[in-house]
Amino acid sequence: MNLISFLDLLGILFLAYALWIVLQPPVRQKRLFQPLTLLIVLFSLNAIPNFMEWVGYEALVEPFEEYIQLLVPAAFFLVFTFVKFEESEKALSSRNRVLMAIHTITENLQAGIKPEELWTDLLGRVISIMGFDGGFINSSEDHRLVNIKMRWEGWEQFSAQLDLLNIEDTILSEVLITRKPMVVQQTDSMPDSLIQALNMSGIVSVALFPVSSKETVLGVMGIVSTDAYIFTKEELDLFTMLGHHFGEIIHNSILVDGARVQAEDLRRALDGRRHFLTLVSDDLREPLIRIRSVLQRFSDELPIGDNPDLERILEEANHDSKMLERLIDDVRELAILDSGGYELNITPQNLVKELARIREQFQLKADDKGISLTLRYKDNLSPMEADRELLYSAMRHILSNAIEYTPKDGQVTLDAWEEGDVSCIQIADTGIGIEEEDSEKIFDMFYRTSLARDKGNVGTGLGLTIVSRIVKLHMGEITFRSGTEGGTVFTIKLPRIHLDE
Amino acid sequence: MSGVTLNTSEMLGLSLCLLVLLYVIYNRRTLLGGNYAFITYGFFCVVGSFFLTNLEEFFLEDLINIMEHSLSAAGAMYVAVGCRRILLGSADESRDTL
Repeated sequence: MNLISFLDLLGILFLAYALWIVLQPPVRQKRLFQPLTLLIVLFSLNAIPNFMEWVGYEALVEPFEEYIQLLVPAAFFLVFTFVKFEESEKALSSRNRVLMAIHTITENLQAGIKPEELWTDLLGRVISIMGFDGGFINSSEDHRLVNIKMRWEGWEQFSAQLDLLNIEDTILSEVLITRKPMVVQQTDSMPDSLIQALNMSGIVSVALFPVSSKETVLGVMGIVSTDAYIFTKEELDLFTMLGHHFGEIIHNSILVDGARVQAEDLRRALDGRRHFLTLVSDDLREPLIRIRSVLQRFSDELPIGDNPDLERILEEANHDSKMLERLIDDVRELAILDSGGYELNITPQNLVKELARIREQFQLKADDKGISLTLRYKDNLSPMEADRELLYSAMRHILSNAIEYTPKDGQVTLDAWEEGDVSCIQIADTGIGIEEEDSEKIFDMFYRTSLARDKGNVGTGLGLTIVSRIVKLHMGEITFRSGTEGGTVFTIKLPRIHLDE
Repeated sequence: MSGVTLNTSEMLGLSLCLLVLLYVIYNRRTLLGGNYAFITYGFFCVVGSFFLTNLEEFFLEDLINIMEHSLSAAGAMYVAVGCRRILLGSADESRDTL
């Protein structure tokens, strides 16, 4: 036997062994079974002519030799195509599982998990799903390392070694700057100290990815393999995408945390203001009642008939005390509405009946000023759902203003109708109106229009603010219009059906 | 060089091998990773043997012929190892199946 024949025989023995492998029953389930079998058969047929030549039966296979030679590369191509297909499918499956993990983690984030725990948990799951040996995270803020230790025993050494390095000089900082993934093999050029750290911790291959949001780089994550592993393009793409996803999640969670703290601060401030206003208004109300009582006694008992100055002084004092009482009541009401803790007592209301009741209460005041107060409504209005006390309060404030600022012989009209599922109330007067420059501010606290200020110390500047808060609590809207010749029309629209939902 | 005769099928085989080689280079990340690398190495050996088959017509016929048959045997060995690792599993399998 010469050397060439020996080599041919060796090749045939290897192929016979390969053929024995593909004949094992369990391997038939694998997708690569068929293309590999074809490859082995064709490869064997390619080697056989040499063997036949050696044993003297060359003529038997000679006619087929040329064709078989062409089929061998084709069989390799078939195997490679199957490999590519299987890997793509595997990557897709991993990708789906990773996306599911991201989804779960995002949901957990809303449940209040800290970003650091999230970071560790998510990467740990992904490493487990994709079957890598381990991973680590390096925060760009404080360069602290967090371990995702799966089957990677060398973590302690790696951490200890990296602690000794100036992290700014390592490849980790390069990823932070370039924001691009980087695959590191031991043979790649990098600082000796880092190579030593990798060697000592058993890392042979590591891929580094930036964890970044659109605005900032939050750190670097490393995927570790303890044997020589070439990261596929799909894996690199997946981890790059994961880094961006992860960066966005962490960035958003930081924003949410910040917003939560701010909201808490704001709530505390509002609570403090409500508490203060309630306390002050309660404390002021009691002495005010005593003062009014004393003033009343003065008016009733003092001989003021021959002293017009005293009478005027008492009238002014009474008026001022009434104004103060209104102011205190309005401040208190607004404080309660603004507290956010007001519980609406929603019940079905007959709108026409409620407006009639309010009109009745203001009729006397309107008659005193010679103002015509009219209620108009459409028949068969559906019941609306509202807090009766608040509804009355809103109507009282608008109607009080309407009568207050409408001159003698004027008209104030209440209208009620409905538009689909919305109940509409309109209060129109022929009063002094609202100028264009005031229109944007009339719902602001303590704001009084220039025309109202000219009229003297009548309103508190809180009435319309209270009305807007009440309408908002009922999820309705309030609008107004005012003509150049005076007169104002306020329209309140309140949804009827969804308050109990 | 007047006595050189090139076999058409061997030339065609080499051309086919080079085309497949381009495919391998394009997908090198997948085909050179993990257990699939052994099959790819086997293919490289086959490409080498086709190349030498054509080359032996020009000079050093005996030596190149030995090299060609050595590469064929090496290719068969790589394919056998690749089949074993892919189909029967190996130490690296844990990564693929986890």
